[in-house]
Amino acid sequence: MFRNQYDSDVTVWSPQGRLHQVDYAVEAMKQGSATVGIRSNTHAVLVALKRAANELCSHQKKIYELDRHVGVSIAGLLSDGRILARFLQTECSSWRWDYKESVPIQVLNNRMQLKLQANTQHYGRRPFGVGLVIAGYDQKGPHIVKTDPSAETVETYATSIGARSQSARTYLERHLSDFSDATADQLIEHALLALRDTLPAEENLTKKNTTIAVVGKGQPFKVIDDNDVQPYLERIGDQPRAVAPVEAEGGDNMQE
Amino acid sequence: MAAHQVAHRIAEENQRTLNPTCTGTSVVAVTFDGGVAIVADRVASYGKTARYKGVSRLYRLNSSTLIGFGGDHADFQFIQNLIYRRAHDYKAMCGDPDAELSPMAVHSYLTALLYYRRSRMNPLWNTLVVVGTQPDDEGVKKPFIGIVTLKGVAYHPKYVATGLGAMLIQQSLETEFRKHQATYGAETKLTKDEAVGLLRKAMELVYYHDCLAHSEYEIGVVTTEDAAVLPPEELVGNWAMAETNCNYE
Repeated sequence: MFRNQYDSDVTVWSPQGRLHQVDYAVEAMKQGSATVGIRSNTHAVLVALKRAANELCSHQKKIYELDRHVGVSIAGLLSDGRILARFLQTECSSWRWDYKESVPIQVLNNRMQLKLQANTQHYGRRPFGVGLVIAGYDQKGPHIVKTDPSAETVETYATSIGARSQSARTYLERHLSDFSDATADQLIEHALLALRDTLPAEENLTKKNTTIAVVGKGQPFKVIDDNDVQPYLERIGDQPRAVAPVEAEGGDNMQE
Repeated sequence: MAAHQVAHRIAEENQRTLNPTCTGTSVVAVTFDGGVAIVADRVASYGKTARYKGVSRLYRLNSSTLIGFGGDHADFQFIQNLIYRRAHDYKAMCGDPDAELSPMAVHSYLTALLYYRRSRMNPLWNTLVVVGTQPDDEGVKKPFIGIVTLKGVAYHPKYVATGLGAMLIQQSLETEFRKHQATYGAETKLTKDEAVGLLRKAMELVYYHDCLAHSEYEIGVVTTEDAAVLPPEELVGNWAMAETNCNYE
């Protein structure tokens, strides 16, 4: 990616048919720390790496509960991510006010898509520099939804976004057939193993830098942090790393 | 600006509803083991005149929801159209042509709507009874009744009668129900046929005592399979008591 004369406004097309501002926003998402989402026939789980700017700082919160049946994990500009999370929270709660029921995930997807796309087509606005992985459970079952700054909103069985997430996606592709019938705990283990593959060789998942969330049949959205993460880490502790992490491009640590 | 910050000047009398025009009278509904039954007669009264006959006061929204109305007919037709369009939009929003609004969703929406109109001093002059089968947290469909009045008062009873029926027969319904459930508030063990029989008796009582009621009525039944409004029935009644009435000629 290099600067050229077609990249100053999101409303300007390049001769190659690209919106460079949108592409740059996607790069911002790729700088954020990784997060993984997987679903089975009964549950959807999220895991995320929390970054700390330095040893004195606490680790950044990455997973937000949107309602009792849905939550989201963020990668990229966390401040943009919070605005989107708050938007989704109000969508969930205003649906609940009107209908006294959980909002269907498809409805959330549509609303999210409209909100993201607007910023890619108006002069003076910029795309949100953040990708979301939404985990939800509704009458149709569990859902994992991936969004990115280009406003692409897509349902998946499993996904990963953020820095070095290609390694995680490789793990997920390899184990895709194991997910449908997995229990919630097994899904979490798979997600943690995928997440671990995004770390450089000398780093590891710890209870401080890892956060887990789960939602599903009979399971309201729950975030697991700190000491509660430790049992899950111990369960995967004896499994060796499968894949050496792919080297990140650029990689400055200013975004989370 | 948030809605509560806008000052609402109450509009002139000719711009808001002060009284209803063509009205429906009582609606009665009872839950039974596996569904809900609802009954309403088929007349729209203009004051005390039985103006329009053959009017259905029950509306089948989808396979799990029926709505019955009392009160202003025109206001109900407006509400009917609103709900129909909302149900249609719901399918588009969910990307699923088979997606259906649940009775709880319809009832909650109507509650918000009627309360909003009441707060603007321009009510939709209806008492609405939404009946159907509502999935619980496990996805198992349970009988559901939701009632909303023109003031926005709303609750979820196990049986209900509106209009004059509320005065006349709610106690009889209570007595029947007490016979058929283990504890107060528990799921009823009435069978479908017992429930429908109960509603026919209730209609007969309403016909005797309510001068706005009519003899032609229809029953709606929602089970876990489907919702249907049955063909209209006509009741005759036992008028022998008239001869013992000292003012009867």
